Amino acid sequence: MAEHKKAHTEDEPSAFARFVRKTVSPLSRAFADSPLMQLRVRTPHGSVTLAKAPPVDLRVTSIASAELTDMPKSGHPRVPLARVYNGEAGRSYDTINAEVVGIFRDIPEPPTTGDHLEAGRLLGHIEALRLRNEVRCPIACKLIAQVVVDGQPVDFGEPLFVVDSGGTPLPQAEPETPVPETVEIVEPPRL
Amino acid sequence: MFAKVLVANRGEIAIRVIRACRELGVKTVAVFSEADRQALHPRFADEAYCIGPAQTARSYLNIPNIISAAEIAGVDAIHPGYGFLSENAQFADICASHGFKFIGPAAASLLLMGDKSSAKQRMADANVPVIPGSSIVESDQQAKKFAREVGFPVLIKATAGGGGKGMRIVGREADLPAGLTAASGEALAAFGDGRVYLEKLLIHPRHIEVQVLADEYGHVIHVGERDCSIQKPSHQKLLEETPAPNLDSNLRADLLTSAVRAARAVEYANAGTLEFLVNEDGMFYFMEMNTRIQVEHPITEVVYGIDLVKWQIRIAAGERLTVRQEEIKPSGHAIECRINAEDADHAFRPTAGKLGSVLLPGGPGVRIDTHIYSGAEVPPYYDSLLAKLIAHDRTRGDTIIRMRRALAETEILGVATTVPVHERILAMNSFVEGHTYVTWLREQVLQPPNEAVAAHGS
Repeated sequence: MAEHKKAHTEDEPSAFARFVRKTVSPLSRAFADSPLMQLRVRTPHGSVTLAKAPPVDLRVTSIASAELTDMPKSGHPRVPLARVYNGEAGRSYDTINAEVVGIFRDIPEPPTTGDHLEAGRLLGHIEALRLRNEVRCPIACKLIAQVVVDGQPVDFGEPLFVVDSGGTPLPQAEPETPVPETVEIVEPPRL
Repeated sequence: MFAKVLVANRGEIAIRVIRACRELGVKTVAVFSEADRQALHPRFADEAYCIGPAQTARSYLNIPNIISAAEIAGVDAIHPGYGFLSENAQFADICASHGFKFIGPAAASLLLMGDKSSAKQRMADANVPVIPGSSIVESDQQAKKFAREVGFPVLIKATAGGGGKGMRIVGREADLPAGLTAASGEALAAFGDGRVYLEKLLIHPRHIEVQVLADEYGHVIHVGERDCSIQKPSHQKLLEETPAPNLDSNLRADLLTSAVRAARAVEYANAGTLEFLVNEDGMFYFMEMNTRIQVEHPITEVVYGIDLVKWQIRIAAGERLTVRQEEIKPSGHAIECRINAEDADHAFRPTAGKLGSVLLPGGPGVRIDTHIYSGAEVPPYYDSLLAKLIAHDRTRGDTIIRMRRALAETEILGVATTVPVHERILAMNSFVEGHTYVTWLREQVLQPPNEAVAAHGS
């Protein structure tokens, strides 16, 4: 970047524009395809340094199962989740989770911690594809914490609210299909 | 070039696409189901979103959640991999209407090639041979005339057909009227529609397909052929190789030019594959076109030194195909063995569960495309492909030797795999001599001739 500026001040602006068009643009395309990480070119009309961002950490350093079971997501938490849902010692809470992928939106009067929520109460929205999907309380319970903030992207199954239902398990939106002992594929796709 | 691509798939192909993106400097977004939380593809990607529970209809086929994830992540394009939504014209349309480039052909191409009869018609119009078929049989005379033209044996098929109902093989003219009556009656009983037609029956055909690459400016090339004749009884491919062994050079040239002509005729863009059946008499017939990347694409990549997935992405990004047909030259031979979590001794029944130790082969000329690791879970919900083992060497003989070595090194504990059946295939003389056909595996390996005779004799 610094050398860009130098070229700009030393020459006429039009000459610099020509240098960018004739030299830098084709060069950057060739550079993108080359294995080089950095390239510095000096010409009578100016000089330029091209650099690639360092490779991203692949995050596959450890696959120990003990660590994995503790990972709520795929290893890419975008916003750190409040670790409240283990609750006080000896007590476990339920979570109300996202049923769709989208952006979480608060309602004008969001519930606050300690509120007693009746079943069916509107808690928030998840905006997806310009549609507002309601998040409602599935059962009468007490709100322990809201773990998402307005505008936060959420994916499927992500905890939104931690609640205390007084020992009654939250009804599942749709029961998980049990894994069959043997799987019969009647007409497998031809790939 | 795109800045960010969402990969709407799982397993090895998701990883394959992520690798191509990374080498192109493109950021990646993975999507995964709850059953794939510990899978590798979400970890290889720069970002990952859970899109639903294990069942594919609610996750990998869940278009609203996939598009929503694409919007949140702010991607430019979506790569569908193979299977799932890869040949779904509606999905391609939805991607476009939300401003995401679908990395694949135009929705119109998906629609055209997805309908077998319209695809066949367009191919016939483009002078690409299709399996000769008659119109609906109105009289015995008309059926006889058609059968004489194409030669016996012929196959009687029900127009409403499926599952082998209303199908009859007729070997000689004298049996034709009785066969028509029987097939028509069976079709009427099964489908309430007794209409039947005739098709030329191919005896022991080979499945040979041609890889094509086309950009959005009308430049079309082929990248050689692949012989995929080693198929399970369900017609799923198990082992593929390139170049096809014992293929007459004129026939090969005809196949390759026909494929390019076919792709041009339908104004195809992106990577695609034209599947042909090659008969014993040296005639070939168009079967179908696969409008996506194929499972077996790596053998083409290693023999032709071309990265097909990168080209898919480049073409979708509007780049011109800079590879000329003259530059497409095979170098050596490659074989791919699909290592599936299946029990070949029990009709390739899929097996699922937690993997024990996984040791995969390596060394010169061996490529592995996989998503498994020691301790990984193989969920029962998805395709049973665990790994693609690709061996490459100078000659076919050397490649077979290399593949046997690689299979011997492979250890996957915890589930039944197709490694043993591959070892049996590679030990067969008729395979080594290159005399295989689409029913060869069933007839010669799974049910060897002497056993078949015994079974029929009872």
